[in-house]
Amino acid sequence: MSERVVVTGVGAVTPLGLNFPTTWKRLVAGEDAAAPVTLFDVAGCRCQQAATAQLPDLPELTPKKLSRLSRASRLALPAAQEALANARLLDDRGRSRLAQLTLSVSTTGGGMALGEQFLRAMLGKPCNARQFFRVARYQSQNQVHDLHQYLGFRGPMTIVANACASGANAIGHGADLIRSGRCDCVLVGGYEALTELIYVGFDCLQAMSPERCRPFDVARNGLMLGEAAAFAVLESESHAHARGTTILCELAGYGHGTDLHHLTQPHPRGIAAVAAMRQAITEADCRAFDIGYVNAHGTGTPLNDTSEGAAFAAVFGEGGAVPPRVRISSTKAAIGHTLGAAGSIEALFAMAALQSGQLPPNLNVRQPEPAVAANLVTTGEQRTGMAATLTVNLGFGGSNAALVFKRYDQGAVRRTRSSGHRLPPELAICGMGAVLPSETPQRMKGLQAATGEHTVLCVDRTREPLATLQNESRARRASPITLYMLAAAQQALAADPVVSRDRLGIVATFNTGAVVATRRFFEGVVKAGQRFASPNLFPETVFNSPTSHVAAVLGVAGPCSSLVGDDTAWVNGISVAATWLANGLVEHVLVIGAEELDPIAIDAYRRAGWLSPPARTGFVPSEGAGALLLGRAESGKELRIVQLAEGFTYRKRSEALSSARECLAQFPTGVLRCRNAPHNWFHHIEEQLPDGKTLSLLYRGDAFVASAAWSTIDAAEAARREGRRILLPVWGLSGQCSALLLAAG
Amino acid sequence: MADVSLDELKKLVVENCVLKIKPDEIGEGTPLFGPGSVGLDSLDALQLTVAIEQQFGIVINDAQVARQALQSLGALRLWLAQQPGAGAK
Repeated sequence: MSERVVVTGVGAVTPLGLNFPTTWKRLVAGEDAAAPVTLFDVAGCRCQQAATAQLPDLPELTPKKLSRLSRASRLALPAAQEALANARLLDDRGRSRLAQLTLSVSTTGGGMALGEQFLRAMLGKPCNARQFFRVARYQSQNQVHDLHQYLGFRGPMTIVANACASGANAIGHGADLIRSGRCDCVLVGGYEALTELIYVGFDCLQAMSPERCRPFDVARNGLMLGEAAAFAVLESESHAHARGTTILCELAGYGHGTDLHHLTQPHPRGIAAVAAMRQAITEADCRAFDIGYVNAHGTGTPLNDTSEGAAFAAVFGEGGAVPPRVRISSTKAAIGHTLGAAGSIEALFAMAALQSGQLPPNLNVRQPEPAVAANLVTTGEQRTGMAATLTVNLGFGGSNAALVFKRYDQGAVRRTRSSGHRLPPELAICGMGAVLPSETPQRMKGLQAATGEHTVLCVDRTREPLATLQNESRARRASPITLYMLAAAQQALAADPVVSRDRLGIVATFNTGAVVATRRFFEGVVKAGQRFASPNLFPETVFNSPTSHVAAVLGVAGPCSSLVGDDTAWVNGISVAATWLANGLVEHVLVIGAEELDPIAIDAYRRAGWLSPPARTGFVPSEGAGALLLGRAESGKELRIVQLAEGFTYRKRSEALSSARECLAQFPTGVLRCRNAPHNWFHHIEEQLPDGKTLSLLYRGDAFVASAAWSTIDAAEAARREGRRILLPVWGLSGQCSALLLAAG
Repeated sequence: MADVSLDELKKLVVENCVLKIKPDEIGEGTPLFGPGSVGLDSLDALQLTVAIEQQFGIVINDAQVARQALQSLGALRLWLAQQPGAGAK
């Protein structure tokens, strides 16, 4: 029997409060945080309001350190700190008592405000290397490094970027890690800072309300954006008991699925939301009847709330009306839609409702949507004795997720889908696929003349199968990365034609993701003005859009996740796949690593000095994709991943070697070790690693996670060819080392 | 407003909606949305309203008006011709 997962601490920074208790008190009192946007200019937008958070003081940080933090980190740090303190995991100095602490977090924008500053500078006047290093801090792994640095822990990290469902996915993945025996304690959560790019994006989609956000009102006309960070500490029941800490509630169920209907519109009957809620309820070993309160996604857009109402009718009303005893509210009229943080903060609300019996009201309703008219929570409502509560999120790209929280009952015995499962000891590689760049370095079309003689390795999109794939309807507006992912995935699937799409999951990993769409969208905003931002381009800037396109073309409606990070996100992706396979969620998982090049990124590398001269830096920008089709290894003879290690982080260059040694010490000695470091900087580390037989892999330029995927395929083929175990280190530029051990026969 | 040529509208639709067809493949009466159409969706409709405002200075705020004006290029051309006080930018 697998261990129960319990919640032992929560923390949040929201537009309603600098911590969770204040937020909750104001929320249940019916307050809202709608206010004019002052963080950036919105003069050219149709809408002008949002829910902005006040940033808590961080007195322990010097002004210089504080000035280096992105707004996203300024929100995430105090929220994570509060959760750890609440779980009694912080020492007197405000540092984590657990030096190794697994992290599962989510965001959609990361530190995007820094990225915007950079893009604006690049599109206007030239910027210097100093500005480049500011932009380098916008990526999500940097906020995680801030958490590591200032809260004093390290360990494996997963950064989920499944748009608006991400927060629930990050929490659910944390629970999966505990259930599958990977770890005993996980810090989970999400964070999102308001940024111009995202605000203008929702404005151009006309998805925001120009007046008041009214979830589940028949006259609703749009959402209100917000910003927040919310974290929770999840533990195995035995770990929490051993520490003698207070258990707040049980995280009993997690469900997730993919809506293939449209990139930005939910299926009218909410079929993926229905599947996610039913899966979460089943895993929680309870019935829909047991759910007393539902925190709805309830964005206040016409399509979302209709779809969600239909989903509630299917799950709780079995097709008819939802019984009045099921209380439902969206809290987005109060704190706004916090995107990557929404699933996390709303999970905290569902937990608090379960614990306190107080229910957060659904604000601004004048005439309720008929499907939930008898269920919407009004201000001051209380309901004691609930057995369970549920939260559900529906995201761009069709990412849907649900979580069920149960009152903690120490004596209860549960049967769960994941009972008895442990990580499959080995993962079978059932198929492999790659889209590689041309072998001849070339000038990139659109690259500014200033880049001089520097060259890059580009994919030739006029060649098959990419040329044909461009005709796929879902690829029409998509960034080129979608084509690379699709071609690599189809090639991997072709190796095993009997793979059932119904039992297939997808994990996609990115460093820069759809950078072409992002640059083109923001360029339009800068040049033509906010009013003329492109509705066709904005959805393509979201990290999980390419994953959604691939899922739609392949017909995969099961679990699909997008992860972000440096090169090592590839290993995180394999780790997530291993967890899904361990928990019996799917039979196969496609793990895809992909990147695309854009002139503005190349110019940034040049200004940072990475391209100058290439022979010295060893950095040649590249693009493409690699995919593995993974299953459970049955015979112990097939091509397989025998072991993985992830999350050996370092903060300074001087710590990198010891971190790499620590990572590689997890593996047996005497195996053939690959030398595949993408940069000269890592070559120095490889040269200082313990002696042993090594295998040099082919260098195809630096395409971050795609390069990690290609190296894995090369190492797998070498393992098959040589009949030996092969160890593949994966180096991450942001300060991580991970590794895979591959074998055949 | 002044007459807008069909060719101009074909180019506007193909470029803004990232269509993989040549402008001449769209007829004046070819539906832009729905069965047997060019294959545009709701995101394209929003994109076209932005493009029309940017190019001709005419704001389409009403969804019902947008649905009628964007039925086909012919309908759009006729609708544009009926709008007062604006011209190509």
